[in-house]
Amino acid sequence: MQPLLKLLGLQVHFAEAHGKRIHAVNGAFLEVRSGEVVGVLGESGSGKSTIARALLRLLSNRASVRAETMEFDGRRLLELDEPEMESIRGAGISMIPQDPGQALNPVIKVGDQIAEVVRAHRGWSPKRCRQEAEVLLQRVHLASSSRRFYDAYPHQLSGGQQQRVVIAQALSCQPALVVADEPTASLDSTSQQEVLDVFCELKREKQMSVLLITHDPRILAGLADRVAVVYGGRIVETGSLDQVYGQPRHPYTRGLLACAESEGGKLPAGARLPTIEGSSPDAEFLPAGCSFAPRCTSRLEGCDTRRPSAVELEHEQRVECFLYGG
Amino acid sequence: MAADCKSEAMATPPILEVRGLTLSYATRRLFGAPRATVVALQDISLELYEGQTLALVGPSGSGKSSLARCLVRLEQPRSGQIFYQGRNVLEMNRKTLKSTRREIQLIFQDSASALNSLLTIEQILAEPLVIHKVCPNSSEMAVRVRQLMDQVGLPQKWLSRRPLELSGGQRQRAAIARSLALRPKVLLLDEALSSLDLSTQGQIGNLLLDLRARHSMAYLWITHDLRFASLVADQVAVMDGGRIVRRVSHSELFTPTQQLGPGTLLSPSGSGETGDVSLVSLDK
Repeated sequence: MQPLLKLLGLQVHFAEAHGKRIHAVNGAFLEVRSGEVVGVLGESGSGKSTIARALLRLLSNRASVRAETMEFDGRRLLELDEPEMESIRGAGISMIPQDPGQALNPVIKVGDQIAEVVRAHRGWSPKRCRQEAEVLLQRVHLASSSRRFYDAYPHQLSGGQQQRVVIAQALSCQPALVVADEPTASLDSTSQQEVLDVFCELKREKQMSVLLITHDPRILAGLADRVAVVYGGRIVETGSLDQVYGQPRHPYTRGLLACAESEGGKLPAGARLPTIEGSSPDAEFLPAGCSFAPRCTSRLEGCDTRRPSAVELEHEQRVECFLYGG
Repeated sequence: MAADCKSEAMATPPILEVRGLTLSYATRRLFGAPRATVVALQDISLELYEGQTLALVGPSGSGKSSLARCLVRLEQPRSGQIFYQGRNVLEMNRKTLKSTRREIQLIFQDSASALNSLLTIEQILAEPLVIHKVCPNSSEMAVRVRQLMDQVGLPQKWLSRRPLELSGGQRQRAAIARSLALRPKVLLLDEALSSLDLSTQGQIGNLLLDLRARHSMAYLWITHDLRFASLVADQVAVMDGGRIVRRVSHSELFTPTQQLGPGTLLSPSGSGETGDVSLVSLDK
């Protein structure tokens, strides 16, 4: 079956002042099939959000975007003109940003903000748009007989409720694919749970396709079908959730998962919290070889000078590492 | 072992003690007429001992940050008492309060707004030393600033950089270095690691654990991350609606979890008292 979204060899570079060149994405591949939740996992600065913004062509004009393939629903995104792209944004692919507080207008009732999106994309009468907004609020469990949520201003809602309003906006055009960029990062545990519940429900009941970007492996557990691990602007490992979490291959994936695991109970005296030593590579001066090599505890000779290619280990589990012959 | 530490700590008086603290804000209409009173903290009591880490967990809006701000008198509580080494912080004059604030340092979540973006890291680290007249001359100050960089694992060549030229984790290290400049005895960490990657959280968490072991510092660690609280805390206080609804040693609150897999996350194992209800775990 043809995937809904297909990315191959995506490269995004930014030209900065004084001749600086930032190599944000360096040959990423990604596929999202219909009805599938794909998690994009990586530390900050790894290029996850740049991939998402490149998909929607939302990057500034300092960015140069190249790809062997960048297709959504059979259409080549890089070849579309701006009006065609505008018809894809919202109706085809919609995006949920990280900070709901910044995404909502503070002086307009949240219900009206959802109705506004419906009107912009569907051109219905104001009354029908308002009705549709109420239905959407109901879908994210923000409905009450007194229209309490419809008439609320953003500051009257909690972070989790605000994020659910933004999700309702994103769903208003019935997009084929929702790109959620760290949708729970700014929320506390209770609100995180509210938002993750909505995603679980959309997956179960609407078979919606979601590209879920996060730095926290715990967010994807129980929700994603497949996971792509990003480092230095490349997808270093991809596979089903069970493959990647059950048998992580790339040393970076293993390190990330170890950081999220906890045996419960207090650390014994002298014990250390799990970490990956070092920090993400500087996108201006990427290493010549594998970009994870400087932090890797399983480094081989040649890791510093040559870049590994992707190897398919099991069905659909691909990894870029010399440990597996890459 | 944790129990031993606890009983040992209990034998000495607490370094920081809070009794019956209540804080409220008045919300006002457009031209200042009072509209309603919001009670942020209600009858809070807690003790923090030297070398101890007390985690304060709870949902947003439960009053965790308000409590931290009260402890250094950035907020004036309506009633209650705060004792630092036996002296009431709320009754201190300006001079004594200034010297007490040297010893209780607050580290915020957003390091980008906590550090002055116009100053270099060197100027930021030197600022508290100048304000509190700690170093007699500039050469000693330069040495102290370099020691601080070493202490938090930042290379000295970055002293000339400005905060926005560093990553979030590096900036948070600089914020910790600044708070260590005055050799505090108590650190109030207000979601200090929440916005960082898990690996960076681990790195800075280890740094703080090392500092605690070396200098017997006491930490009030405010977080909404139960996993982190379970790893670093001796005791956990659960806040909800401006009250401490539960206070337990970590072993009573947390159960061991399995390996990370679909749907497995840390969950509180409490017996269903009111405090547990608001702290929903992420497991499905």
